[in-house]
Amino acid sequence: MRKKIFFGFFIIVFCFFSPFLKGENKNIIKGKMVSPLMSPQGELQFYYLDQEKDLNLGTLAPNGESLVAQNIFPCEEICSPVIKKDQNNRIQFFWVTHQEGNSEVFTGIIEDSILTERQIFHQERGTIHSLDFCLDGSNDLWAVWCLQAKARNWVVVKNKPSDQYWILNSSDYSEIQEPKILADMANGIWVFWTGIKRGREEVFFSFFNGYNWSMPESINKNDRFPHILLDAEIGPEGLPWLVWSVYDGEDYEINVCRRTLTGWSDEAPITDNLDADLFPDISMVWGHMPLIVWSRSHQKQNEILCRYKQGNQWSEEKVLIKGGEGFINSPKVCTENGRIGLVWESDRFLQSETINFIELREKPRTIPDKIRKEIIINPSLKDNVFIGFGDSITYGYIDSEPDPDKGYIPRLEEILSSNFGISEVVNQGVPSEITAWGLSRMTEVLSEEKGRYLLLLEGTNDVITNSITMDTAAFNLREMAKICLDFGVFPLISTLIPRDDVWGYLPFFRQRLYALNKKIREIPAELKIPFVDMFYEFYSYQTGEQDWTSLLSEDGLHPNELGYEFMAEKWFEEIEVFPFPPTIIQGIRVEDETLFDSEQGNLIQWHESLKLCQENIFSGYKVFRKIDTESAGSFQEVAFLPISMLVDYRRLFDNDIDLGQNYCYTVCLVRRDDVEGPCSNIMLVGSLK
Amino acid sequence: MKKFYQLFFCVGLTAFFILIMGEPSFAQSDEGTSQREQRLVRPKNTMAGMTIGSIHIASDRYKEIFENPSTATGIEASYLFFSKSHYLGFTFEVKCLSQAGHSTVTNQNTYFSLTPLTLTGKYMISLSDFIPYLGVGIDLFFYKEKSHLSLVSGSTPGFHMEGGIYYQPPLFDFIKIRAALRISRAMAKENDIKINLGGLEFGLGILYCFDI
Repeated sequence: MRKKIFFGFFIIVFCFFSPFLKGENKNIIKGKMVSPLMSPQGELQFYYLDQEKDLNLGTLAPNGESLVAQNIFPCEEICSPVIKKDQNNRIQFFWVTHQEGNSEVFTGIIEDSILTERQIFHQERGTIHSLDFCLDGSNDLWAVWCLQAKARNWVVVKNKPSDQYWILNSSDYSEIQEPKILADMANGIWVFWTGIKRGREEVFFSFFNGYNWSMPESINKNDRFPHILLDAEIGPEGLPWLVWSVYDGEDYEINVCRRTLTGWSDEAPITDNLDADLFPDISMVWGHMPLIVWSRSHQKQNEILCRYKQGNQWSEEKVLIKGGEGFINSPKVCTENGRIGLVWESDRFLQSETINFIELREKPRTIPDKIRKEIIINPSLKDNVFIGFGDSITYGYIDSEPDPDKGYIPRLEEILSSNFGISEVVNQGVPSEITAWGLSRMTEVLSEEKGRYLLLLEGTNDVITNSITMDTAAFNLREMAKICLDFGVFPLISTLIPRDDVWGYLPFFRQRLYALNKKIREIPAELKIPFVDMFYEFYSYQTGEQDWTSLLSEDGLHPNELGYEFMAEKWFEEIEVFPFPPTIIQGIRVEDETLFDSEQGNLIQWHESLKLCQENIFSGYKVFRKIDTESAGSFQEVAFLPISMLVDYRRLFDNDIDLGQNYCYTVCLVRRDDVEGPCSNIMLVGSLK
Repeated sequence: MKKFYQLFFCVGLTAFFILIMGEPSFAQSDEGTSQREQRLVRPKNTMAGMTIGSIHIASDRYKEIFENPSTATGIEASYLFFSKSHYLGFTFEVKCLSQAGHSTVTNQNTYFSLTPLTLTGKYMISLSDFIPYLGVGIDLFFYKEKSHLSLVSGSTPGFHMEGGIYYQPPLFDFIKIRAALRISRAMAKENDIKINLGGLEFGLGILYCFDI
């Protein structure tokens, strides 16, 4: 009896203290954020959808110590909820519901945590998404959304009192993202969105002068790189300020731009480093001081940073939140009387923080890491090391729970080891990762792991994030593959697997998945890299009564054990026909002699990899050369030697040389489908001894 | 195969001489020993015929590029001065050698031809049907090489020593068969590359003998 009492007491004590033992933060809520607002009392109020899709209000006290959550109303599969204050300080609520191919936009007002004045704002055949609204000087409602119908995406604006309805732009599926609408001080209405016109994703705007909408124009200067994750706010001059992430050739940086009376200012970079700076959000402190907040991922450290503009001077970067390994998505900032509220999502949890602007000034500044990592062609990479790169599917999730020991990584490692000798497959899957994050960590992963081959399967989270176009996601994947090639790493890219969850059956997201896979299929031919059409392989799976759905776990997204085994086999089928790199065994400066003449040249000789299983799928060897003192990126192709011409020897005599120079050579094997294998070891050939 | 044809040609030529020229000798066969003695005493003073030789060119570089030994075919003419069983003579000879080989590294084809003109002074001793001899002489080697690198041609003088033996088949006093071993030296220089085109040669010849 005494034992039972002691045991019961122990359980009670444990339950009481367990949150503290786990270090659980009391400002954490599980759910999906809608919008944050600051109350005049300095409370941070943020509306979010919980796991049951109910709309809830979380209120964080001004001292940031107590978070109260209360249920506002149960929603029926609502999408794109937006909450803003009108000029009477009433909380306006907009949302969309979808039923049988129809979409309905609703409005309501939240008063004392109760939803009132609920009414239909608009009905349309098709899928409405990415809703935003604003209130002009007359407190009239203006709403903008994307309508996906008839295989196209439309930017639609509607004004409530007049019930007028405009279509500003139309584009292919998934190529218009996150429109924003603002009313300026002169009651002009501005709509911004990112989309694709000619090149990559760009920032567009259209302006309503009271009579007509202007033709959509792009704001950014170039369309070579994607401009994504736009946010807009009315600035101190009463005109719009915009922030977005733009790829700069190495990673994503934050750019800011504002409207002046004469036109758009130049894009000004707010960041310049080698980390991915994403999800910018802009707010005006005291209504006149622009504050930009964004998230950054750097070597498994994720943080929220900010900069503000005082007078004509931008402040240093300040660290607002230092996170852990979990990515920080969509940090949202709101301000009221110099008090700053911050809400962000990380690992499907919502976290919140409030801070005074005065305290913000005292926050430590960051020192941007701008030291370029050395990119090496053909470093001493380990030929038996394969890097599995991607998201949770690569990491190994079953039924939305981590289980890396049952993923494709260990299974593939076993297959490779039994065929090629001891091999290692490194797990570089990061759950919830989108391609922009993946792009930022690729260089670091390649530097650390030193693997010769990389298996790239990522983009599943981009499909449902709905904040960037599929063109940009494919661009990010292409850039990742390019980085691999620059490193001498041989990437093998795959399409995304089909999904059997709710996202897989919503036409809009299903179309995004198809669009991304279509773009992924274009990458291998462009970069001459191998490819596995995992989508097709899964989709065409049929064993007895079982079809592709039998390869997925209960969550309909991640494969089950059978699926991971199947995936490992499909990876291996392609790896088996890799043009594995040859090994240069000799490189010497020699003279090619006839009886009465001779010429000096560099003779290199190599032998083929022992891993090659089939010879008839290769077309020949490419030989690359550079002068010893030149940079690693200076390798140039000097010869292509068809396999049919190489009877006895795998060798090349290079006579087109400057005899005073030393040269470095590397060789790669080329498949008949033009896929070039990784380069061999580098052989230095010097002057004739 | 080429060598076989050359040998076949020589054998055929010999047979031809024997058949064409042999008939008078058969007719005179009854005369017996006195004629043989006469042959010993006074052979024909002129010989002309064809030769075939196997040449081992001395240059290591040559050996690396071309097949060695090489076969050369040619013609020769000799004139003899008599003094009892000792003769002095001189021989003029033209041969031709052509070879295909491969460059040392890239194995690209290279074609070489050599035409030596030789003049040899000979001392011969008549011993029954066999006439051994020793000789020295001078050469002029004409050469040409065509390769992916260049076309090179020229000439170079040389000298040689040789020893050999003539065989006079019985009944065929208008025929001699010659076997000889010759060593020669001829340095050619092109593109700062010196090559000894001489070497050791073993030759066979069939000669038609007549007086002029």
